Amino acid sequence: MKVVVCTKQTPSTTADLTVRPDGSVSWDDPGGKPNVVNPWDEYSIEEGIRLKENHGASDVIALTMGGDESQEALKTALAMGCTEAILLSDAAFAGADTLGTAKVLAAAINKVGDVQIAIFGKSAIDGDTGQTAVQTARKLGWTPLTFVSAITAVGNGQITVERLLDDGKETVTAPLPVVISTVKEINEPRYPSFMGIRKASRATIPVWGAGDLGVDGVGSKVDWSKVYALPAREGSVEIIDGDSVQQKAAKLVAKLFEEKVI
Amino acid sequence: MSSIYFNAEHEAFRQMVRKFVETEINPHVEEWEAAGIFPAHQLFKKMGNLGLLGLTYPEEYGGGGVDYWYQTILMEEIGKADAAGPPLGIAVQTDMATPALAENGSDTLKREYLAPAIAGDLVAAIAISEPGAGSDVAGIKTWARRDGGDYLINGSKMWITNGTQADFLCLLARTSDERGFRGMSLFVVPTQAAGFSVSRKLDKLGHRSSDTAILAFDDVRVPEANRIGPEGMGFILQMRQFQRERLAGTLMGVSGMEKMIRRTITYCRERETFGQPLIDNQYIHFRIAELLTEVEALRQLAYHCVRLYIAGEDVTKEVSMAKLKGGRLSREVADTCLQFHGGMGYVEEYPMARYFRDSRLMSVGGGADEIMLGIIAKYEDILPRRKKA
Repeated sequence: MKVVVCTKQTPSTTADLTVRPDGSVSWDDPGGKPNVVNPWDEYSIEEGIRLKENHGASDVIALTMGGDESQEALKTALAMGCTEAILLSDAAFAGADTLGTAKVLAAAINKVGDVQIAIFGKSAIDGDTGQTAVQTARKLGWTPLTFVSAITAVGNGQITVERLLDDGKETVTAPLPVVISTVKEINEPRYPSFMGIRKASRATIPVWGAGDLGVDGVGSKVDWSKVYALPAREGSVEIIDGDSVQQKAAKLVAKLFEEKVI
Repeated sequence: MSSIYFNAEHEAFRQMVRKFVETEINPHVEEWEAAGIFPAHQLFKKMGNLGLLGLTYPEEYGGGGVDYWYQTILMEEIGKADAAGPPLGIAVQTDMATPALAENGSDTLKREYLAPAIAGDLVAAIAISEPGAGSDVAGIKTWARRDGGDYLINGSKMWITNGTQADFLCLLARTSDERGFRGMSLFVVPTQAAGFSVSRKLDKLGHRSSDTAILAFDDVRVPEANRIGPEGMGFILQMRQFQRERLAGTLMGVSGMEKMIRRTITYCRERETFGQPLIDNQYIHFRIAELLTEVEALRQLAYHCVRLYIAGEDVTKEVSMAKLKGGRLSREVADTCLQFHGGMGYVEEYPMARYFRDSRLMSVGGGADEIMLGIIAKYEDILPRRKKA
């Protein structure tokens, strides 16, 4: 059984998003942190590795679509313990929306072959759409299992998972193959080890292009007609004064009633 | 950071260590500072699992087998932690208590103590200073007398970092009546040995999350096989071990100073006085620019030391210079940064006060500034000539 983990390289969590008047956007980390593997994907990478450690997966293959620089995200996946990594890169993939990305990922998963589980993070912290996992499942014709907080059993051609929903959890069993999107409650991602980093830095990462995957017309069906920054929040601060804590609390409560907060 | 010293693999390693510090150390700093100790066994095991405790040591003992640039990164990144106590304990494990064992210990001794120290299963401490001899190492009085095939150790050791938690000590003791440095040997002493005790834990100005102790030895029996290197060579081996200790300390100091300055820049940008951010005062941004220049100069001296160390050169003079400058500069940086924080620098609610307290150790520990001056003067042959009798 092979497991594929679909990752993305994103700006760091401390990077600031700047939207310019012409609608172009950029990310800049004030501390100079480089781009990272999408933080939500760390959970999916960890779960992929655990499927090998605990559920007999033979290979855990990390995939990402992007430019050459995205190799760094794949190296993080290798350093954490993925057995293989493949970069999906082609000029024809540039500007892809989530559906285009799903098309490429599905083609790559089919090309890897014998994949029973494809795992995604719940979303990418830059685009934050959370659509790619289900769209990839649709392209593959596999069952999508979203918001998975635990994989409890894998065997006999099926998988049982817990899904974390707004009002509770549900246990779901589905036939393999499946596409899973994970939430952070699923595990505690490991750090890439020193030896893992050493090994990953020497790994040669294969690059699959549009020709290798037999895909064309990736592009984007979504048109971003206008991108603009949110207006700055306005607010003011009022210090509640009083002679005692009780008096201050009473004033605060009165104020909260007055403002219809409570 | 683009650098002629570090490649993409180094940077990936740096990011990993940085994340480890931010996740495994910083969130616990307040609790550990209040407790006066950090859980070394717990933290070291996590580090051992990641291969962080023996980067430069041979792979056959579980080490990484890489050069000191990786250790440089480790020291720089742990040096940025929110308290200097845990980094000090880590550096004792990697750069102060184990280098002599790794270089001069027998294979058996290394398998018994170095390998578990690298794995994070054993906590190490370095036991050199005594109540009557600190930087003046040649004046130590702890004895290891031969008794059959063993040594019996008697005496006391002071200022021992990791002292209440250590599983073994790298200990310097006298083994003959020869005066000065000639009669000393280095030993690995397990702390579960009969006759060993922790006299007391010391209450310190800074590095409060690191346990520092006075240790007592009352007929502590250690086998001859626990001696590191030949008898009588202990002082020489320790002097070599000190170079790595001081280099590691300098590297941590540089990144610690940078952390203080960066935090101060952020504060001075946010804090407004007389209608403008503090940083807009020329005195303040000039002073910060000057301190950054000094820190960068020290970093380059430290990197020069790393290059010499990797090349196998004697780094004693250069490392002594780096540590001396580091100690003095860290006092200057901490004092200036605290001053620019005003009242916020003086309250324990804000980390600046802790950085200030922690910064004071560098001029005192691992050989005081005055000892560094003596070493440099000796290497430059400018010490007073001894009068012939």
